[in-house]
Amino acid sequence: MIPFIKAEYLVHEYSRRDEEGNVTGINRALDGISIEVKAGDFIAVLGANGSGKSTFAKHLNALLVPTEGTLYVDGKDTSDHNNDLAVRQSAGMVFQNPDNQIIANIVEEDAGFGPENIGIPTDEIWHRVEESLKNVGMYEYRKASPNHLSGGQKQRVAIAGILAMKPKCIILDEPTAMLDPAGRISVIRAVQELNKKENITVILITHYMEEVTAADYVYVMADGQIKMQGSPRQIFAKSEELAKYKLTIPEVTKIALELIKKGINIPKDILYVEELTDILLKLKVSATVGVRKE
Amino acid sequence: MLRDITIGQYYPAESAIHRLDPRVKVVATFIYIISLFCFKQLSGYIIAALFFLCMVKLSRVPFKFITRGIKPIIFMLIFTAALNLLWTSGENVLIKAGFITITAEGVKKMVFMALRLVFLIIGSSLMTLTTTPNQLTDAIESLFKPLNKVKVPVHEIAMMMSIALRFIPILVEETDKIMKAQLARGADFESGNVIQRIKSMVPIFIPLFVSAARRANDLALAMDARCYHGGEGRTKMKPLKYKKKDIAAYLVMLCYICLIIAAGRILPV
Amino acid sequence: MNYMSIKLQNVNYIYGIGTGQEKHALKNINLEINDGEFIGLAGHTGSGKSTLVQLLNGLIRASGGTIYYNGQNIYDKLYNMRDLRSRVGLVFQYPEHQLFETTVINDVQFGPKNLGLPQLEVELRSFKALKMTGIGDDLLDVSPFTLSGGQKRRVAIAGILAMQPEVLVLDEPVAGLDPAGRDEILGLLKKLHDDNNITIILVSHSMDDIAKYVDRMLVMNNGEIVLDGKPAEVFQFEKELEQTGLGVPQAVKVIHQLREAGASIKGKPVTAEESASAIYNWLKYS
Repeated sequence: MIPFIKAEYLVHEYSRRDEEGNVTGINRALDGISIEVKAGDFIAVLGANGSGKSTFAKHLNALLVPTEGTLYVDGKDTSDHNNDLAVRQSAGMVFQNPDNQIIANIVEEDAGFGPENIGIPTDEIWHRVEESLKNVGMYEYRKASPNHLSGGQKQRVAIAGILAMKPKCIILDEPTAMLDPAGRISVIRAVQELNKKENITVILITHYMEEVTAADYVYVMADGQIKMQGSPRQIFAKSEELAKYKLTIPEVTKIALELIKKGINIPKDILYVEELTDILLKLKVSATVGVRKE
Repeated sequence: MLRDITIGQYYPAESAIHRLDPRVKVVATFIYIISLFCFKQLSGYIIAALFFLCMVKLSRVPFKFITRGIKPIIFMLIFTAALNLLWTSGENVLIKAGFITITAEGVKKMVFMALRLVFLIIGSSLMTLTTTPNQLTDAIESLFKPLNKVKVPVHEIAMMMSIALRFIPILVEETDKIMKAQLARGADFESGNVIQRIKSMVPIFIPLFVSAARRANDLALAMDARCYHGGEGRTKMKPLKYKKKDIAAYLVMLCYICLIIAAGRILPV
Repeated sequence: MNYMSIKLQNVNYIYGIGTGQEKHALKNINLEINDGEFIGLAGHTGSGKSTLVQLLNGLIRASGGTIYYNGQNIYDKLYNMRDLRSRVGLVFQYPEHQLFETTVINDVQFGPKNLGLPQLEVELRSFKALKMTGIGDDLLDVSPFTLSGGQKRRVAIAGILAMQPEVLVLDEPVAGLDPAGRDEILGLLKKLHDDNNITIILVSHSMDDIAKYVDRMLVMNNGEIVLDGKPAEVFQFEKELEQTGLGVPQAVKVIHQLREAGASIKGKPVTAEESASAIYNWLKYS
């Protein structure tokens, strides 16, 4: 099967310029990224600020073109500007700041902005807008002004705006960084649902550990390179390596690791509270039955 | 809250006027304003006033909202009225005191001029009260489309207006926040002479410009990401389509302007 | 030195009085903040916490009630409001958005200069503040706009610290930062509190951060303070916290779930380490 996204030794360089426009230095934001993403996957990209993860996201949306290497999105070469619209339509992008990506003054008009741009007939736009707003739970706010919505609601409107273009993939660049816990949960839940129900490929870029536990596969970026990859469990089992890249593990995984340090025999890749409590309760039962009390 | 600031002064209601195509309202307002300069006698004013009152009734906008539009120009109104009163020469002198001469013709001209200005203002208020800024932008884009041929970027201008409408409340809120933040750093915006005061605004303006630039940059990326590439090949979610009632409204306006012109020729006063 | 405190008595705040769209942002708040406390103020967006912190340094005026700073009514006609603003430093959310000067050092000097201090004192305080926030000497003369996000934020915080406030209020100081950046800022606050005995009020919706750092926690909901106490005590109200859209740290959740299943775990741990110890003791000794 052809991968939906295929990056081969992707490099991006920003050049720093002085006041006269002469290049004074080169900043390698992406340094040889090779990735393959299957259609329908939920991928998380973790990285500290400045790790290059946002630059990578912009490449996936053809907002930047590779300095070296190649990137294919849905079979299209992103370095060819003729593919820009096709790439953006099949892999839509949601940005960090909820205010700065809503264009229209009414929720439903914003959701219709993308379809308008790609020349969808009027009746079909209405149909798509209704469907996509329902998909993110914002249909009842369709007549509202974006200025009166909470951050989480605005982000869901932004997602609906992408959905209305019927993309195969959604790229979310730190979509929850500016939200409160309730807003964060609502956005991540909406994204997970789209992945499961509509089979949309999701690429979630974040530094919140709790958000990546549901991903199928996690990439960890630092210094423009992919430093680690694997399932969330495989990644979070390596807390020391993560710390090197300025990342931490979820609190519950930390508790498990502390217990292991104290000599308790439990797995070190625990991701959920329920998981840990189940294991501990079982352990307690077998301990009281099988082990002599000290 | 600052986010509630709306540009324009839309009064939400369900009425025949609200439901009209915005282009009709723009054109009708234009016709109405022209009509105000098509007559000189009292009867014309009466017809214009009656016609306007009918429209207000139909629009279901409370009358006090309509007259509110006059407040900001009240000074200008008095000034023009006074000019007309004092500078009109005539035969029927009413008062003569020193260099001030007030004539009957002057009084008449003053009253009529003031009435005309008031009608002009409240006439356009009725349009902005019954049309959302978005609809207005759409109407302007559609009505001025022919200008595209002479290379006026009509779509782009309309898009800019629409984005400005969305971001003005956000930037107003941001200004308030930056001001408070600098106040918290001991800034003083209130004392000193003019130059000192202007200088004290620098800590507000620079962050505001930086923020506006950042937002503009973000927004441009977001528009690119959503396949925006100008007005070409673009469809509309809410295309403007004339319906029967819009045609009827145009006919009403035609009748009105005929009536005004006829009245100006036939009626003596 | 006098014993210092901030005291709020029956404080109300209503937005948009007379516009027909009034919003009761704060309802009858009674609160006393003592000298040297490290307070965490939690609440979802719109709960009134941002309004409360703006009242504390006089940026907005309460619609009703009184605020005493060190025993003096700040709404007294003779009270020096600008003096209050220098004593109660307020760091807004995304404070890096207020930077405006051409160099880092100039920006930091803006606050102390406004206090009318002699130039030498202004410079001393600014250097000290930048040192505290970990901004190296090599960055003093560069434009703040060329710094990284985390550095900009530390410069902005230094701008408030240079005014040497007695109370430091920070509205979501770690919003948008990565884990390392968060730890840096929060560690800095802890150090300020421990070394300089500054009273700190940390507005945050991260329960993990609150659990780790603060001595006393206030929870706001709908313009009221609904919970007030040590984090370990406040986290016992897991249901109430969840209803206000906040929840408890995972470390607390684990303990609560184990207890519900019948485990007799002792103590009220709030951090991962404390929870692990409590669980260990339960596994081994009970």
